[in-house]
Amino acid sequence: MIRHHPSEATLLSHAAGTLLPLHAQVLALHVAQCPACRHAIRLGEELGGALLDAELPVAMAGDALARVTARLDAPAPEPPPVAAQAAPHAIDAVMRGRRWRPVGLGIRLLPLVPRDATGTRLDLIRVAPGVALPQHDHTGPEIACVLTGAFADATGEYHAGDIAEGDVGLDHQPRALAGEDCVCLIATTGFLRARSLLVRLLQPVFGV
Amino acid sequence: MSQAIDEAPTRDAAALIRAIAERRDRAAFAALFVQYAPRLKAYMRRLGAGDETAEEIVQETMLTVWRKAALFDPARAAASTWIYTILRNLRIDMMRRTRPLPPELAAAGEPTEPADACELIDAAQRTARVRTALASLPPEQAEVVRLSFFDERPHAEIERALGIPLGTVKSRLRLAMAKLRRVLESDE
Repeated sequence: MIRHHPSEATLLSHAAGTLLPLHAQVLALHVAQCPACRHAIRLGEELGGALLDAELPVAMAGDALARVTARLDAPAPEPPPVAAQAAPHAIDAVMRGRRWRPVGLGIRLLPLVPRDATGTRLDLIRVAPGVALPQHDHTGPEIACVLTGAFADATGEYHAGDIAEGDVGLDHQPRALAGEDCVCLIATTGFLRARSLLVRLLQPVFGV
Repeated sequence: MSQAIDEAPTRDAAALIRAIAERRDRAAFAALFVQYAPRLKAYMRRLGAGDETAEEIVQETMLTVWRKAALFDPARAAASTWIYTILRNLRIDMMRRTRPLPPELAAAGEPTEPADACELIDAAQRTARVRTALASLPPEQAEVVRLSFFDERPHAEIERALGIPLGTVKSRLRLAMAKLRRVLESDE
């Protein structure tokens, strides 16, 4: 059962299309299995429609209508192929042919998308049961969705499907719960700042 | 053509989209264009798009409206909401094109939701209520709703820029959304 949902702010940004694209990828995993959040996004889209209606018209170029009318009979471009699979299975496909990289005792990382223009990267992180990440702070927003296993920090316990969001000011030490490995899809903007000097010294080596 | 444009204000957008879907009605398309293209352009300009980019994406949006008109379901969404989501998705596609994702991830699309049978009011009424509720929000809540739509910076960065305490944007949004839900879920 899903217990942790994304914040209203995240859901609204998603409906607005202003959520960072990699954060939206993580959110999609949760939304695919959460009717309440789909409902909230729909409300956000209705807000978008209302904002659109409220805009004061800005004149289009004089020939704009003629130009688009001339294209009405052109065949529609082929839509890009869409794999008919649910998002969690997409992760399996992504993992095929890639290797987990150890980044500490019981912690492995599978980088999916390197840091983009917004300073955001997308990774899968796999933590062995009972292992804790070093205590750390954030310099930007982070969003994670639990795929398997579970973890806990001071803000609660997170199980499959749950969303955990972090931002500047969240200083936490997530620990994987007993049982199976905890795997999360995580989008990180900015950097994690470890409390421990040793971990900080090692960070450049691991690249997180 | 000019006649169709003159008639535009009296014909509602959902009927125009239906006319496009059923009869490939070009006059209806022209009327819808006159009604929505300048608003779509205003929306894009507010997001910081230059004149040329804004015109281009509005053209693509209206072309998509023409092509997908048969998929419009007035029970599920008001015309303005549907057109809005087309614009938004085109914008997102444009951004993705500049930052490619692994195809397996990019393929994870949005699930499509059937219209909610238990809802008491239809999409057009819902939208009217959303509009009224948006207009009646306290200014500081309306401001953060607008920021979510028109400012692409993360919320913490917006807070720093506005000089308001961390977490304030989130709590104001929570209040705004709670109010909108109350307005939509009351049966009058």
